[in-house]
This record gives sequence, structure tokens and C-alpha cells, in this order.
Amino acid sequence: MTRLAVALLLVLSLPAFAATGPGKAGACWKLQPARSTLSFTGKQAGAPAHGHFRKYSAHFCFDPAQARGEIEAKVRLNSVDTSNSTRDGILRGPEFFDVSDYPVATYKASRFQALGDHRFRGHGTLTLHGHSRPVPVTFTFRQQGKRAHAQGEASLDRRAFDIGQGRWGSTRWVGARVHVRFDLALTRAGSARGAGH
Amino acid sequence: MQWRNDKERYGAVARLFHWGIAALILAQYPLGIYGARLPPGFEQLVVLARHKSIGISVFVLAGLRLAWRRADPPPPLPPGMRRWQRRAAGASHALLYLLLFGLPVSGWLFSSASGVSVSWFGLVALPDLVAPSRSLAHVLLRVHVAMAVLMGLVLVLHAGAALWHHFSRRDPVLVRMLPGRARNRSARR
Repeated sequence: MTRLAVALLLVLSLPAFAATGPGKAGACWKLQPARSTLSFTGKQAGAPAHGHFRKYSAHFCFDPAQARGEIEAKVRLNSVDTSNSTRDGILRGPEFFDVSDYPVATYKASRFQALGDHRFRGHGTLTLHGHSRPVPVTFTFRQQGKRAHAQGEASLDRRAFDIGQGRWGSTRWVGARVHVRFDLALTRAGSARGAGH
Repeated sequence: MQWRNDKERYGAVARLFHWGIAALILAQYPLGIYGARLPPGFEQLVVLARHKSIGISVFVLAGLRLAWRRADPPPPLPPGMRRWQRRAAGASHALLYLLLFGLPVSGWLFSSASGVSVSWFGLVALPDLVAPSRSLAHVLLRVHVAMAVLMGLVLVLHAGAALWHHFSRRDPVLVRMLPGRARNRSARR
């Protein structure tokens, strides 16, 4: 009987719990793709190679006051654009992203740390090419009314995700380090997860 | 070892520039043609990266060579050549120098326009000259290839003229550029 009461209490309190979203996961924000960029720089034959992704989405709930939130970004890897269609084709192919088997890369972070002056570090996990690895991101989060701006970067080793197979595995022609930058324009979507849009 | 030119022959520096650049240019044709025909992939990246590195080397060497040429003018053409022959010699040399710069620069421009930054043997990264543009890249590749064809034609003329000087006119124009010959100097290479 008490068990049932506790269960009932829990179920009843769920909506209330969810409503405390801002405290738990922070306000949620909607990505404005047209004003956002997700770019990267690697190294090809000793020269920097720049690219960006044209299609990605983000579930972005963040409370800067408490450095709490939940961020989940999904990147459509076949939207890679390095200003060179030949290179894009190689990147989409089986030796790199292998988009037919792994069309999406996911970045998830739910643990944050305030670094001061609007700066934060997110301790998240990148799932790419079938591998999940911790990848920290540092970013600034600036809020102005119903708009916010998240700007940051991360650095990863492509080999940790088996990106660049066979002869590409050597770092002589394609560098191991890939520097990722993001500049996300956000508008207020409502509190609580799943609320609003 | 005679470093500088004199009235009769080219010095060691001028000859080293001449044959060094000649060897690089001759390597560029197979690398460029083979690289362009390869399917997109690892081998193409490597072959074309070498082509670009050698091209940048040609560009730098041509600059040094011109500077050296100012400080150390070449020996005069042999007497008895006709006016048009002297003019043709001058014009073809000028065109060769122009192409020694034009080919690497057009290749570099093409690379930049196609969104691929150039490095010199992976050691020095070069700046991009223009922003990526598919249509510009298309034009620049044509310019690069046209220059390569033009240089090929001028090189045939250049070598043919050298042979003509040697075998038909029997003057020292060819010999004075050959390494290690003349005046019983020992071979340098």
C-alpha cells in the first residue's frame, strides 16, 4: 500500500519535476541554422584544410547561472563542404565518414563547468563513425533577452574514430588533429525539455 | 670552379640554375598529367602535392635566378646572328622566364580557387591567393594547362635552337651551358 502511494506520488510529481526544467537543464533554445556555423580545420599535405557542415540540429538547454544543461547536437555528415567536391566525396566515402553506414555524428553533453566571463566547458561525448569518445568543448554562452549565442571549439584526433582508413591512417598526408568550431545562434524555445518546438 | 659568367661561358651558378630548373620542369609534366588523370584518392593527393611542391620550388628558384642574372649578366650571343634570330632568342628567353613564374602562380591560384591550400613539401604552408570558386577554378586550370603547353612548345624551340647553334652554326652557345665542359675544368656533377 505504501509502495503504491510512493509510486503514485512519484508519477504525480513528474510534471512538476519537469516544470523545474530551468533549474535542472536550463532554458531550452532553438537553433537558427541560417545564422549558425559548424566548421572544422584539419591538415592536408601540410596545409590547413577548412570545411563546414551545412546540416545539423541541436537540442540546446542550458542555464548559464548554474552551468547546467543538456546539449545534444546531430550532424548530417553528408552535408560536409570543404569547397572542393572531390575532397567532399572522399570524406563521405568508406575511408572517412562512411556516410552510408554512419550518416550522423552526435555530440551529447550534460556536465558543464563554469570558467568565468561567460565561458564554459562541456564534458560530452562525440559519437562518430561508430565510436563514442569523450570530447570536451569550451564555449562562451551569451544571452540577450530571447536570443543567445553559443560560440566554441573542440579538438579531436580523427584516429580515435577510425576516420581515415588504410593509407590515410598515416598522419603525414592528413593530420590527426581536427579543430572544430561552432557558432550557434539560438532563440528562446521555452523551458523544460520537450516543451515548445 | 668558376662561379660567375664571363664573356665565353656561363658560370657554375647560372648553369646550376639552368639545369636544376630544367630537371624540375621536366618532372612536372609527368607528375601533373599523371596526377590529373588519377582517380580522386590517396595517390592523387600525394602526386599532386609533390607537383605543387616542385612548382613552388621552381617559382622560388626562378626568382633567385632572375636576381642572380641581374648581378651576373649572361655572356653575349655569338657574332654573326641575324637580327630576327637575336630577337627570337631574346623573346623566347623572356617567355620562358615569364612561364617559370606564370605556371607555378597559375597552379597556386587554381589550387586556392579549388579550395585546396598549398604547402611546400608539407613544411611551409602557403597562403590562399583567392577564395574558393568553382567557375574560377575551371578557368584557372585551363590557363595552367595552356601555359604548360606553351612552355612545352617554347622548350622544344629552345632545345632545337641550342642544337642548331651546336651542329649547324658550330658556335659555343650549347657547350657554354653544359656542365663541366670547356677549358679542361673538371666535371662538377
